[in-house]
Amino acid sequence: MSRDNAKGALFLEILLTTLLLVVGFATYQVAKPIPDNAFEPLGAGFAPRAISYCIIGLAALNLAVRVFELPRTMGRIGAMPSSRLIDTVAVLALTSLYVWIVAGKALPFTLSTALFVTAAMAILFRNLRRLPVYAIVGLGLGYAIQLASSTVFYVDI
Amino acid sequence: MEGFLASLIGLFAPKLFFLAVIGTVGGVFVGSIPGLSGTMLISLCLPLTFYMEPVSAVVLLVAIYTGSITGGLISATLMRTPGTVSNVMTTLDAFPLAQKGQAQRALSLGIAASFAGSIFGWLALALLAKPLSEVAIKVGTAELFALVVLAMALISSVSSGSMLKGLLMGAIGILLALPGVDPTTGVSRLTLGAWQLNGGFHILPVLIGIFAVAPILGDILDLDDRSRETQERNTRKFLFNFGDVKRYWGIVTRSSILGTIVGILPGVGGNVASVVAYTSARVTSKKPEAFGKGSEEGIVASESANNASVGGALIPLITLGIPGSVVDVLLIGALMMHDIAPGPMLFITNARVAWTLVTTLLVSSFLMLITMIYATGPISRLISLPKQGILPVILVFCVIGVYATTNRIFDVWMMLGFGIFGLIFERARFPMAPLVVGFVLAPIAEKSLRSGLMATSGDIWMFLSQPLSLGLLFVSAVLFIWPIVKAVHEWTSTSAKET
Amino acid sequence: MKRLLGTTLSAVALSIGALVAANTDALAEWPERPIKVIVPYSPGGSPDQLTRKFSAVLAENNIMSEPVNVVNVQGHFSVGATEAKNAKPDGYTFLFLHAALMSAEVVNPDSGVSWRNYAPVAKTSNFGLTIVTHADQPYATLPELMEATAQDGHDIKFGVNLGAINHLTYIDLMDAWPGSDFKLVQAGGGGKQYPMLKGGQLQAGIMTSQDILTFQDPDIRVLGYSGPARLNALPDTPTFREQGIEAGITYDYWWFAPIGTPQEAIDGFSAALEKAIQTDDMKNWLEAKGLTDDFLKGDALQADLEASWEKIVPIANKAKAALSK
Repeated sequence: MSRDNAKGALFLEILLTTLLLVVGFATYQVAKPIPDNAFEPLGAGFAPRAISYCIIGLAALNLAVRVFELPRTMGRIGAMPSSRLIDTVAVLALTSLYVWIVAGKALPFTLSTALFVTAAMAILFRNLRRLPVYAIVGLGLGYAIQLASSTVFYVDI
Repeated sequence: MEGFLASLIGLFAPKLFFLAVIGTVGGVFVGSIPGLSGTMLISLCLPLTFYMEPVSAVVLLVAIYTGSITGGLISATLMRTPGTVSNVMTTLDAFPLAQKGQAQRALSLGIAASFAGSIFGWLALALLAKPLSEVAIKVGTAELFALVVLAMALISSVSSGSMLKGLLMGAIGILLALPGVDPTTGVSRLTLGAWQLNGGFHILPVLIGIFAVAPILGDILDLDDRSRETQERNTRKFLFNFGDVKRYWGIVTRSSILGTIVGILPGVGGNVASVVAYTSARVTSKKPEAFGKGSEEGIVASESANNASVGGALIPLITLGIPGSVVDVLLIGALMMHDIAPGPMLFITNARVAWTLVTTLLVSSFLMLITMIYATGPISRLISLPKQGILPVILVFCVIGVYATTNRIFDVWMMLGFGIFGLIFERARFPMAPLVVGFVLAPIAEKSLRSGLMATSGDIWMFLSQPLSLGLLFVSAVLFIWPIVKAVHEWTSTSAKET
Repeated sequence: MKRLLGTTLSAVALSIGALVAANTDALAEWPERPIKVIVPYSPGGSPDQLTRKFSAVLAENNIMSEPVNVVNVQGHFSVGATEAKNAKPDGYTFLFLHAALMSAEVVNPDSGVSWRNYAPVAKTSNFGLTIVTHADQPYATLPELMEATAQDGHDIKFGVNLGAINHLTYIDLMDAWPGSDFKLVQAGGGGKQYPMLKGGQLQAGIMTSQDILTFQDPDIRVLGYSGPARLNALPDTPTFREQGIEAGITYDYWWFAPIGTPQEAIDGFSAALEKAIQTDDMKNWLEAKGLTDDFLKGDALQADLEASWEKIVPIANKAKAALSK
């Protein structure tokens, strides 16, 4: 399984550390023009610049350490992505769609929640026969939240 | 004493007692469900408390606080997901122990330690509030800065996995705290032109994204993985006996003292308390190698310290009006909505409210103990419902919870973003606790550093001339440099081997 | 099972129909659903307390048929203000704010706020700021403090929130006493300065009368109030002018709506606020908080906003110059 697949994790770590190194340089670029002022000893730019140095230094060091580990595990890379990767991406996409609908109030909250819960459960359970059960759970949840946010709390949904 | 007794008796009036029970039970349940934190429940209750008597508001909020900080133990043990940030350290040992088939034991120890810590923190609050306020009032900007730096160094060095990665994540956390309008100069920095970021990242999307959305996505990825489903679910029995009292009273006392002291420190709460107590327990333990692999001492240290910090954190709140933890910020907000100023005058102008803060903590500690003993069964069954069914429901709670608190859809998008970030980085074994601590503490550190230097016209000597801040900074420097030295050493020795 | 599925689906379809139908009719009579007021500050602060009091008074006296809900947007205030600016101008979103809106337009153009981005609804109450010092300090009156700072220079640490309204009042005060020179320390609002004063990290500071009345602390000595007359809630605090200092700037609390909001909603809400501020409950509350019961709407409000802007721009420019020095 991918979680305990040391080689896959190491490879991913090298990739992400490189990304953080880029983030460090980008932060430095964005922080450079922040004006310093004589009004106070440290300006608004001090902390961003200081932290960009920290990130660059730490990321470079971590990258160096890990790249040296790589040859020992080379040739065995090939972590199988989890069979649930598609599910994860699908649920994420579904959540985004749900947030987008709630934000635009395109559908009543109870309904959009019911649809989201039903669809997400259908994907995860991989069992369409229980669809009515999912729909009832979703409708109940959506209605309960809708009720609470109009009576107990005020949430503009 | 009179005020204390009157308040204690008053707490057993039906209405207040009902609120204490609701708050504690609600706190335990909400704290135990990953994705719902006590902080969130308290924020959601703030508008509600505005329509209550001040005393009722205090009872409800303090009860939730006590309940939720303990409730997180259950999901930390059974799901490897800390219910609240304060249970991060507990997860390190409680989950491995549960994997070995000793979930009941882990929970029982955690509950007993939580109760002991809670009572200890309460004792400190009740007895030491006044004398300690005289010490706390002397915490100037230099010492505050040094304390925050030490806390960051500690969290990076105790986080699981490589210390270097811990430091790196801490730095990323600090970076995440920087965007927005700088309060000192009014300059809008690191926002990349997005006005939505002028206020910075709100803490809730960061916390819920990393501690709820990321684990949910991770759980979906691992749905077909049966190896993590081995913990026993029969948690009815309370596996705790007199021998444990004899065995662990030392650790409990030490961790509770540390937890209380850390709680008193401004801005740092249960999370840092458990980290400090955990580290101290590991250093002094006869079996340090067991820590992180299911050590009973680790669970006891972490849980007694985070509960003790609740009482500790209320001390600066009552005596100075300074929040001792993130939750205390919400308590101050609730009090101020009722025209009540927390501070040294609280015992004089609003004695009943002040004493209620003290007595509610005591009563809710007992309520928490009862709830935890009897409710872990139902809660663990709640957790052991098919994940396929629970995960979508929690996702809805995450979305609505963030939106209800910050009133911005932008923050919901940020929450999803941090969820994806947390998922990917955790897969590469980057620790997340340093990131969150860096995020929370960076503004305090930056403000105390800059305000301190403004007051001394840029003279850095003020940080080094006071023994307390000098000592704290020295310890931090050692903690910061050690992982880097270690990494360089590893690197050179590996390359020596290669050639 | 199939039947259950069929029933559920038709139930879902029915509810979609019903809910969509309920959602589509136009602004028939304002208000027909709850109103949202954005307060771009944390819950518990001075603006939040005032808005929530209005919300309670409107509901308790049946002035409005629908609830007025306070929504806090935290972080820098420009975030909440921009949210309100971009909100749908349907008559159900309002913004509550004070002169920070005008000050930031000058001091911090980055934040992108301008008071002209909103339709003014009402002005409810006016407030001034107080100069405070720790009771351990030897200064009994404001002139004594100003005299001391002109001599010792730089030794007295004074807490402000740079670029914010307390900084503007500070600049206004400094202009009236040439040679004065405090050591400015970024602290924030009254709530942040209070512990720093108690802890000795500040010797003096500036906060709202609302803050003073909330803290009620004998350790905090109030030296002067910037308003035109003494407050009933702080009868022993003289104004700046009483002490011979020709300074004193006050600020208003304003209610705005997004541009394009129907006029009937603006008129309806301002009329409701006017009724609320005339209740004894509201008047007593404002007095106890050190706030006036001033009220303006319509053209008079527009003229008053222009006048405030004229007054704030020169001081805000000085604040900006001081910050980029």
